[in-house]
Amino acid sequence: MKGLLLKDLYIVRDGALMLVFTFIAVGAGMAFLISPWVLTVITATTLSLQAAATIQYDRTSQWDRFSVTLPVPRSQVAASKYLLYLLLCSAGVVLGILICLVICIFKQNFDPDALFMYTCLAVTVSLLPGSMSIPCAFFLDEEKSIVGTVLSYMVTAGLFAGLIVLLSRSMDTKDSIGGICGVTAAVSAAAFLLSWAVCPKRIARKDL
Amino acid sequence: MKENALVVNRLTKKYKDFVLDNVSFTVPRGSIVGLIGENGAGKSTTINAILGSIRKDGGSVEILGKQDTEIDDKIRGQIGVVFDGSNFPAALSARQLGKVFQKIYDTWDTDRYLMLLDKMSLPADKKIKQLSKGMKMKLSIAAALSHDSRLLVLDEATSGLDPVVRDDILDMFLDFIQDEDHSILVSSHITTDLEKVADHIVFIHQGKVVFSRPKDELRYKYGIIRCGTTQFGSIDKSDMIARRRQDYGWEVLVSDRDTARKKYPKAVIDPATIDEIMLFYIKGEM
Repeated sequence: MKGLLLKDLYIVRDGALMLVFTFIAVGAGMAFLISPWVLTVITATTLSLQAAATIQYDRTSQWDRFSVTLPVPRSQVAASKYLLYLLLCSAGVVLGILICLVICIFKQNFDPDALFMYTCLAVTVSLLPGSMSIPCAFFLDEEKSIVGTVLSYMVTAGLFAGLIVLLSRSMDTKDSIGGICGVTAAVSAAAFLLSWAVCPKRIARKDL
Repeated sequence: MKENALVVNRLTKKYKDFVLDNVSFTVPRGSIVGLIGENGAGKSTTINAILGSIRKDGGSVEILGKQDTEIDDKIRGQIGVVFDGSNFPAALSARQLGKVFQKIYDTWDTDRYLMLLDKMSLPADKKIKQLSKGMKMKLSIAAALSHDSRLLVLDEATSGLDPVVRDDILDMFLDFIQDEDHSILVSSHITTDLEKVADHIVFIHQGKVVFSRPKDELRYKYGIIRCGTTQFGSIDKSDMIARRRQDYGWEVLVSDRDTARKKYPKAVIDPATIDEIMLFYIKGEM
C-alpha cells in the first residue's frame, strides 16, 4: 500500500504547480467575493480531486494492467485510492484553515463559527462526490467517468440545497446552518466509508 | 523441485466475438517458450488470464508449483511482467519508480536495479515520458529483473523496437535464463526474435493452440517442398501438413524434410522458418 501511495503522491506532486495556480486564482477571487474561509472548501476539493484523477492516469499509462501483477491484492490497489483521497482531502482542509488563519490574523476578525461551517462544508463537498467519483473512475471509461465526476458534484450540491429547503420549512436554517453542515459532513463521511468498503471488493472481481 | 514453471491447462475465456478455447501448454523450468500467432489470435488474452488480469471461464493455471487459488503475493513477487509499451506512470523517473517498487516488493534489490539502469544506459532521473520507446521497454525489463523473478512473462515486449534494441533485449533474456531455475514466457508476432532465443514454440490461432513444439524440431525437421503442378500430384497427401498455391506452382509444408528428400528426390525442399510455418497454418489449405 505504501508503494502505491508513494507512486500517486509523485504523480500529484508532478501537477502541483497547476494546483498552486488554481488555489491562487480561484481561491483568492472566491475569498475576496464571499469569505476567506471558502478557500478551505477549494483546497480540500481541488486536492482530493487529484486522487480520483490518478485513477485515470493509471489507466492512460496502463499501470492498472500492470498493478494486477504486483504482489498486492487488487482490492488494496483500489483501497489505496480511497486512502489517498482522504489524505489529500485532510491536507486540503488543513492547508485551507492555515491560510485562512493567517488572513484572519491580518484582518483581526477570527470567526470560530465560520471555521466550523466551512470545514464541514469542505468535508461534504469533498467526501460525498468522492464516494461517487472514485467508483466511476474505476468502472467507467475516461469520458463517462468525467461526466460521473461532474454529476457527483451536482448531486452533492442538489442534495445540500434540497436539505436546506426541506429543513427551512420546520426551522430557521440561518441560525442552525453550522449544525446542518455538521450533519451533512457526517453523512458524507459515512457515504465515503461505505463506498470504500464496497468498491474495492467489486474491483477485485472486475476484468481489465 | 517441480519441472514446470508454468502449466496452462484447458484455459478458456469466452467473449461475444472471441473464444480462447482450451489452451494448454507448459513452460519448463530453465527454458524460453515463445507464444506466437497473428494479431487477435489470443496471445494477450492467454497472458492476461495467466496473470489474473481477466477472469477465466475454465481451465487452470499453475505458476511456480502453485495452483490458481494458491497463487499468493509471494508467488506474484517472483513473476516479472513486461507488457508492450511502458506501463509505468510517465510523471515518474526511473529512480522514483525504484523507490515505489522498493516498498511493494519484499525482494526488491535497489543496487541491482541501479546497476541495470547503468548497464542499459538509462538515465535514472529523467522522467519516463521523456524516454524513447526502446528505453521504456528496457526500463520495464530492468524492473522485472530487480525483484528476484523466477518467471518472466512478456507480452509483445519487442514489438515496435529497432533491431539493435531488440537484440539487446534478447541478450538480456539469454542472460536471465542462465540460471536453470529461471523461465520465460514471451509472446510475439516477430517470430525471428523467437527463432533466436526460444526453446519451445506455442502457436495460437483463432483462440486455439495449433501446435506446441520444440523450436529445433520446427527449424531442423520441418521443410517446404516447392514444386510444379505435375510433381505436386505425386506427393502423398499424408505427408502434407498444409499446402499453398503460388504463381509458379505449389508449396507444401512437411514435418520431416529429410524423409521427404528421400521420398521425393527430384523435389526442391527448403528449411521452413517459423514465419513460413505460421503462414501455412493460417493461409494454407490443410
